[in-house]
Amino acid sequence: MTEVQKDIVKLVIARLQTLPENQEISIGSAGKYNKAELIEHVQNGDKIGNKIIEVELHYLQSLKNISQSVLDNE
Amino acid sequence: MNKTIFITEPNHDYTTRYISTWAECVVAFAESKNDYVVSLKNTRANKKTFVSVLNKINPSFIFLNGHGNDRLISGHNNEPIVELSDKSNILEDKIVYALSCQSAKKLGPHCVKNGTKTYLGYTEDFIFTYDKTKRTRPSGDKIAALFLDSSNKIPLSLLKNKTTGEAYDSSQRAFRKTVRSLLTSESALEQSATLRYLVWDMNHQVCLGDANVKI
Repeated sequence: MTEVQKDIVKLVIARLQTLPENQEISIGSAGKYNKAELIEHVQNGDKIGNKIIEVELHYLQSLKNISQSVLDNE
Repeated sequence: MNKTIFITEPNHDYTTRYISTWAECVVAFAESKNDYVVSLKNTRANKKTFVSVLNKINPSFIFLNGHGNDRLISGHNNEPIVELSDKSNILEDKIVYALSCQSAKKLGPHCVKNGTKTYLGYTEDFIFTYDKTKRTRPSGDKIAALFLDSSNKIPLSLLKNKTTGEAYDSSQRAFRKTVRSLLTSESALEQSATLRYLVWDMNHQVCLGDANVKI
């Protein structure tokens, strides 16, 4: 794992730490996961963990467009 | 003219329980307009029953709820109902909304190429969060509602005589409105934590095929 990839994992885990304890996440047929399970999957670097990283990065990369949409009140 | 609506509502795990609970809102609305609704619930959400009823009622709109992947949509206990490997396109000449993971990636384009009028769905996993204290009574779950109310705009708009393109736009607007509201108001952590998944679903929802047809 490169340094950048390690940083991304740290970033995603830090973001997942903010999830509420009372919520579970349904990821289709892959199942349902609570906060601790999501973090564990990301740490393990498995299929679910990689999906969660993809979702977090997608959101962060979308922020520019989302912010513009808010400003434009679209 | 009254419409004929065909819906699958599997209910064998928390995910299918939630999406089928929200599908009931669509059923109620359609029935309030005297549309003819046939819903395959629980164990009846299987391929044999689906094909049999489909041929009998010839619906103008099919609303599929269930797990899936890029090659199939399933029903009760994840039994495939519509598959890429089907010998013929059982969704030919239909307008379809699939609340299912990834099915618009390969199955949807395949169906449209083989005669489905419009296929609305998701090219990636449909992800949603829910309050685990509400999972035995999903209809009262305000967290899940952020996702499923936006999704429901598609079938509800179609039932209001909107085109498939307008129904898609309506759902996209609902997702955007929810995201904007969460970003600009002092929303609770429980709600703002959903943002990443709302944006994911919104950006992977697609309308394939003819965007100018009505059910």
